[in-house]
Amino acid sequence: VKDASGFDAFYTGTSRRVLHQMYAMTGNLADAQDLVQEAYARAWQRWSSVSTYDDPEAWIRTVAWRLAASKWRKTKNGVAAMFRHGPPPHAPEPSIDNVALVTALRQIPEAQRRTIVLHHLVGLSVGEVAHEMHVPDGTVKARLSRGRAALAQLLTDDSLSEEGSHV
Amino acid sequence: MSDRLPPTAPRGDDRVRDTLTALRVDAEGCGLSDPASVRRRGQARTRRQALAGVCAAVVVVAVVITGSSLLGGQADKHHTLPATHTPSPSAPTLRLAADPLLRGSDMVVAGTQLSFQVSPDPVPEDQRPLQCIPSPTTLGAAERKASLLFADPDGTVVEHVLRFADATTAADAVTELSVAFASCTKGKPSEVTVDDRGPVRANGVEGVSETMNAARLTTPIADAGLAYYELGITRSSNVVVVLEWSSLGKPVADKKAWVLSRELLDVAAHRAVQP
Repeated sequence: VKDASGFDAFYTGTSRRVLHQMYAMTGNLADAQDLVQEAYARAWQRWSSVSTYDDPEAWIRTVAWRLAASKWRKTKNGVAAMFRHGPPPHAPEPSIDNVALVTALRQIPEAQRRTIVLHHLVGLSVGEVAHEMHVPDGTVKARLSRGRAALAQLLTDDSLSEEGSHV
Repeated sequence: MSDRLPPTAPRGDDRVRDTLTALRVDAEGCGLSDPASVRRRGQARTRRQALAGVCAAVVVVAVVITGSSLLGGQADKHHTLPATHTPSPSAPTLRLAADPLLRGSDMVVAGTQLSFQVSPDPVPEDQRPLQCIPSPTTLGAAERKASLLFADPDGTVVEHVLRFADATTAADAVTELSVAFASCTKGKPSEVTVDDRGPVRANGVEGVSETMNAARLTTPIADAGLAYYELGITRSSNVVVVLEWSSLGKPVADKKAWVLSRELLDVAAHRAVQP
């Protein structure tokens, strides 16, 4: 018997934070909204296992990212979107203050975006990001460096690229 | 772990974090379903998968029966291993080139030059892209070199160049890798859909004794894990090059095409040995 109350508490306590992270990773709030809910639905399917993980939130984040990547691939291949539920009824848009930031995020490569979010927003160390992304530490460092430089250029904010001390 | 910060901790000196935190306003204004609705969505998905599983089982049974008859009753094996190329006793003993590894500029996939970079760090032994393949460092090579190349937005290639004492030992190493791939556990059918292509050997490149490809596609991904993995091996007498590709998905639209193409393996083989 799955623990519904435990799942509900987990969802209530983490979903908004994961939505924020996925929004930053995808640069699309509507996508992030559906990806997050699909990831939690999949977590409920195997909640008896996921609930025992050291970090179920990381599992949710990774599944949501995989779903996003899968959707991008299919879109690139000209295949119809994978989601049975279709777009959310009221697809949210970024606020006026965040339009420039969202536009910039969408212009940097997906892997760099994900690396930056995991390190700077989620707060993972370089080693932890490497573990979550299944890449070497050096790859993470390179993606952080290039991603921050690209973001700084797009936002014309030099201070964003001066974060090397955190790596 | 010294650079780890709690997700909610203020980090005044992190401008990137401050910038990304601004998105929280939008996220907080975005509606999320209540937990009960999410659970219902998960339950509906389980029911759909159960139905799909019945259909898939019928297909699998049909494939197994067909495969059994074709393979002469070897249905318990995932793949039929291609015949091993027994090296000639007179096979020359080759030496590694001074710089035997692929360059980023060598990475051409499906006719497209990809922007690959060589990682400055050593190849990490604890992050194998496919755990059921033995590390090439354990195959008994007398000399070995390795590098990791990565591309944006996605795609990682690990290359191992191995020089063995003789061609027979090198051929045994190739066989060991292909056997390992062929016996990989595929995972639970209810959680993944696997398109697993076993080892395929081929000859034909001048100066190369044998080449081998194997691929494993896992999609859609429900758990954190590998999406697309490809193994490419080329042996020139006593020198073996092992290439492992991993990415979120297959970067080539053609389902039959290898990412680690014959041409790329040919380049790797020729880079590896001293002319």
